[in-house]
Amino acid sequence: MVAVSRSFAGTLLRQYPPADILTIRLPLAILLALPLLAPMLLPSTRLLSLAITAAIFLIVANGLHIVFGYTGQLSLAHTTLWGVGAYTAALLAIHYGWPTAALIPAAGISAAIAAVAIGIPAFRTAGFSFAIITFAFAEILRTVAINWRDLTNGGAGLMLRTPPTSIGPIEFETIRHLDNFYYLTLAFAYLSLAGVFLIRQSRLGRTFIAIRENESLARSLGINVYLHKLIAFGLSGFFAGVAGVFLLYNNQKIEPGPLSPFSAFFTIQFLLMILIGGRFSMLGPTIGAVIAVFAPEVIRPLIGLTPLGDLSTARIQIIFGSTLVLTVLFAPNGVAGQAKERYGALAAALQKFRERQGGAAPPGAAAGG
Amino acid sequence: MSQELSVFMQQLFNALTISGVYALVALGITVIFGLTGIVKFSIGELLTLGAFLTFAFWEGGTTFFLAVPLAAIAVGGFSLLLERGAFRFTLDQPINGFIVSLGLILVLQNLIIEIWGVGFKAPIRPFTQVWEVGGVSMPVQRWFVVWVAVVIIGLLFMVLRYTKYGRAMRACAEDRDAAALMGIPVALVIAGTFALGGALAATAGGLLASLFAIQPFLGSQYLLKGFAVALVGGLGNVEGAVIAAVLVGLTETMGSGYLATEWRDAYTFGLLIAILLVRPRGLFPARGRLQETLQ
Repeated sequence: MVAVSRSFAGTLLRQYPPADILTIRLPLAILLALPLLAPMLLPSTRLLSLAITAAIFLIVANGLHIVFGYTGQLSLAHTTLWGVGAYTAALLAIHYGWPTAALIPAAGISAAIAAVAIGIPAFRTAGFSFAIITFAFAEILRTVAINWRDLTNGGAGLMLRTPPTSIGPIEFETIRHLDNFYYLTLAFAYLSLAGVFLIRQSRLGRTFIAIRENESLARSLGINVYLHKLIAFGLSGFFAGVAGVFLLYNNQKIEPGPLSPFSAFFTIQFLLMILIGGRFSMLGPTIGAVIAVFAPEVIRPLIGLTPLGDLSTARIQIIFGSTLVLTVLFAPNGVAGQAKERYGALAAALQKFRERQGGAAPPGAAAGG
Repeated sequence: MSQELSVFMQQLFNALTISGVYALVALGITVIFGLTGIVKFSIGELLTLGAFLTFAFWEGGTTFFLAVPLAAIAVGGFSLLLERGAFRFTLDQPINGFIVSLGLILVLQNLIIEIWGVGFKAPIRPFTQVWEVGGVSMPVQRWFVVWVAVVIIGLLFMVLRYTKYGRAMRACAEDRDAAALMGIPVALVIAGTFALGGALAATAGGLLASLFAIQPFLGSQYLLKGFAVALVGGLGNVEGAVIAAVLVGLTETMGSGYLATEWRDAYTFGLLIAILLVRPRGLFPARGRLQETLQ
């Protein structure tokens, strides 16, 4: 018993050396806790509703990260699954009056089922063919959303006027209780982050990464590649579906138009988030989602000072697209990747400096390496 | 001619026109993929750019027949610049090239909106006559589009088969390293192919400007169809792309003619999914090292 606990403590210490806790994990924890203060820090309701958008995007992006970041499969149907979740929630809420607590799993599961249904044929192909088949399915689903008028009300979409079900005295109505709705969304954003973290730590996550790194090698180790890709896709769909519920509550409607989850615009936008954030890092999608939502807010006043003047949506898109191109060309591992590299270089330099000083290396460095 | 037959012939004629446009886009996609493994999604925006430049030249007083080649040359040159400025750095990681092209979609589409606005531009009509044969009405304009497409495709085949550049291109597609060892200037051939792909898309765009009203979001629709065509034919396979263009054009036109029109896009993509399930590398898979590692 003692031996077990000692070895457990040892493992823990090796995994989280004290030096690491102070330099990385503590600042990171503070950064992650910062959104909790958003309603107090953000000066306007507009910014708070942007924070809500960021939280919703983050859930979607974390889902995409499982299938694209971990497993390496470029799904172009991901945002469509987000829309599937939103439509499921809208139908169940409007016709059957389901409470929010039931809508969330229902939307998640329906999007996961849709993902698996797309994946079963699509994963028979790989690489670009897979990307394009998922795209074809996304287009078909968009056509269905527009044309199956009895179910989806066509291009006009479905309206949902009721706010999320209150929990006891806490109401989530978005006009008077925006901060409550923010916390509800944020809770699920944290959950999605925890989900991505847990998957990454698990055997399942390691299998996904093995498939991304070398599919034939993974197969030769006895991994059922097809099945694991399906699992990854299903999980990613679940995340997207859950986010769909929040999208529905936030917009109070879901429609298949050019700025909806069914648009190619969002497909590109979410790829951009993951790439800017860093596709090989767990926090990549989170960083990307926050940047994608808030960067225009920061850029707009800055550009206002220059001769370019006021920024139209088109100009913001141009900046966005150029950023994506430049990111891929100059920092293919994104912000998180860059940060890691810089930190690694800094740590190495520090280590060298200490050695030159002749002092003993700190215990953390000795244990952790 | 009986009523049914003339309706059928009408659909066939419509399918032919649209197939010509799809074939040009698909050829642009397929030559670039065959050579570099890069799926260049931004080619749809090059098509839009071609359409708008054609319109701008025409508005400036140039005849339509000169406006289209001018637009094609301009867009081809622009595509060459993009290759030099961005795509050539992604040659060893084609997926990055794909993502770069996604970013370029946003940039180009919004540049077009900034310059020309979001509104529709009325079609240019160099020909106004309509031929009536046995109840089938065939605007001369559409015949013109079909013939231009046929001539360009024919020329492309001749170039690929008989010229030095064509042989170099096929060699690079088959095995880039071996081609380089044989003294083929691979970088030059690739740059040339990007210019060619851009020019093909711009030609398709210019032709479209004479058929329909154009708007800045024109590209995505034709990109998707062109892409579906290139995939069905086997990415990288030039002959396959032409056959697939006719197949997709027929499916779409006949589907929306005899079944429900509003499901038009679903027919194409349904066909695409069905074919890729049976033959994951398309009907006529291209040969070459790139194709084998990528698909």
